[in-house]
Amino acid sequence: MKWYVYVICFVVIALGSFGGFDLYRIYTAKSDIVGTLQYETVERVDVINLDVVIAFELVAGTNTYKYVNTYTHVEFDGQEFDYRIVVNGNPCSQTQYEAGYIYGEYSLSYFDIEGNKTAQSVLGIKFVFLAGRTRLELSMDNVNGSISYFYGYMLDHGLNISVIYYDEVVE
Amino acid sequence: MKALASVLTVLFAVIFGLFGTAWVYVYFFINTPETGLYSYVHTLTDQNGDAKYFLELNHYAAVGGGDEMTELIFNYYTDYNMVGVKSYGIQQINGEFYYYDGFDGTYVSIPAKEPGFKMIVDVKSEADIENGVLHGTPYAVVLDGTYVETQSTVNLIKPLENVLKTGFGIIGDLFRKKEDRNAWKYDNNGENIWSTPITDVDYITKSYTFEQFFEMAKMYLTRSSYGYGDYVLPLVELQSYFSLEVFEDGQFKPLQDATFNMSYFSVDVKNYRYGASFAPQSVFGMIGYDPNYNSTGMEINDEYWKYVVDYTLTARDFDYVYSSVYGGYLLIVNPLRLAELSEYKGLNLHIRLDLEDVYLIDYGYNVVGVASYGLFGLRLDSFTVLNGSGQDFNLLSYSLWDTGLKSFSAVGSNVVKASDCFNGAGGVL
Repeated sequence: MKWYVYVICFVVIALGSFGGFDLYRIYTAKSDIVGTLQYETVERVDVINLDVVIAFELVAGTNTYKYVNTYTHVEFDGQEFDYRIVVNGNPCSQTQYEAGYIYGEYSLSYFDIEGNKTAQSVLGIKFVFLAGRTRLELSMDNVNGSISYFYGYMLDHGLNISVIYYDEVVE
Repeated sequence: MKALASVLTVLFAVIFGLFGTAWVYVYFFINTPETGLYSYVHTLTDQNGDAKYFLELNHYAAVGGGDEMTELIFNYYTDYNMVGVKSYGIQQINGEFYYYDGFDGTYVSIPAKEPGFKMIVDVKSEADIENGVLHGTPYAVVLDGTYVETQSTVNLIKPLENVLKTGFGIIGDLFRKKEDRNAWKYDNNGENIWSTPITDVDYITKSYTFEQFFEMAKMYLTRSSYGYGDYVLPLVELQSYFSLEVFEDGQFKPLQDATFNMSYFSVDVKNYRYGASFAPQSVFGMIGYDPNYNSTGMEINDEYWKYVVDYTLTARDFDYVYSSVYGGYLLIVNPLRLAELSEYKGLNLHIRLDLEDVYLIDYGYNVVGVASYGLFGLRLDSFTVLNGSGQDFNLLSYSLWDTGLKSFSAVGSNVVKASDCFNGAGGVL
């Protein structure tokens, strides 16, 4: 063989070895978890914290009930922090916020004594943070008696609504 | 003629002697220096360490339905050691008054308190506030049952006196030098005697009822510039209705007697546009002594075994990793969201992944499935994929591992499941 044939063979062997080992690595790899998840509890800051008793008002011509109340001004900057709405110690879903408002949904499922789900209530919660005041807007569609279940829930547990943010990044 | 002159001289001497005596009396005994005593009553600290205002006022205006209801709550310490805070409440609905006694959020009905009832508060000085003192000096706010009303009455003596002064003055001017004339026209303050009011101000003490005080407090609220909402009315002056006593030497004593006392109270206000329609709205937990009061016309259903809080995760709650094998992005749980959710117990978690979510479109995430162990750490109730456009949605090996998922559905996507996509206990896949 010419000297250059040796060189080509050597290159082919080297490339083939690399490919073979890499194929082995790819096809023998398994998904796994190493160690456990660890995270720290971060400092929670309340922007506003209210104990509310709702007397809903039916929006004429709809199946939607609403409640509006005004509170004193509080500082809120949706462009600075990552905000959440918490109701009775539980988080709200579907949270959206912009510079001066935050919206979330507090959803509850109710079960009868046989363990069957009998109703679900979804409370829409919107805080509007204005320069001189804060407005709370609550709404709920009355689906399969969800309002009456929600009143029952309020009787038993009250309704505490807060807007929070976490002061430090979770690690 | 000489005798007449002597008599007139004596007569004038007697008259002007009386004037002089009156002036000396007024100057030295009436014009005492004015003193003022100002008291400020704000909050109390209850047995749970929470601040409560001495006065709370709730008003349901009944605009657009419900009943107009007003509640007035006095919070006060149970004793001068200021160990606990009790409450005395008055509720007015449909013109009727109801009375409550409360402790730590629980209220019972009671008869109205009698005038003279003492309510212990604490007044903090600047130094107390600076030093973070929990309780200031104990004072008692006494519901006097009386108030002082100012009343003006016409004094007929004054004009008569002025007529006499004018008559004698004009006659007297005939005998005075030119520069001394007309002095009689002015009183000690340099005012023309005819320009001073001919009325006297009388201070009349009248008794009042709680109901009257209640109406006055309601007036403060409905005629304030704050409107509806929750706020604190600062510096409401209620000296006319309450008197203050200070705790000294083991007993409550009236405050020092100043020329005028002013007592200012901060009032915690909740002013609602809505009317009262069911009992939990009341701070007393009942309306008209009825804990089941419900004029909403709506059934209150508390006949359920349990409730769970549903929490729905959407596209924004996940991270996405690109897979060249599957030609798109695979979903994995965001560790920050996982850490946050771990703080809440008993959540019923759902995933609602809309493949046309604006978030996914904005970031260019073409989601084609769930990565291995992508949902590790979540306990899921349901997983719904929406708005697929016929492409595969891949559930990789162990992608749903240990999630306890109960239901999975995909609309518009072709679900491709690895045989070991779900190796946890239970589940539907």
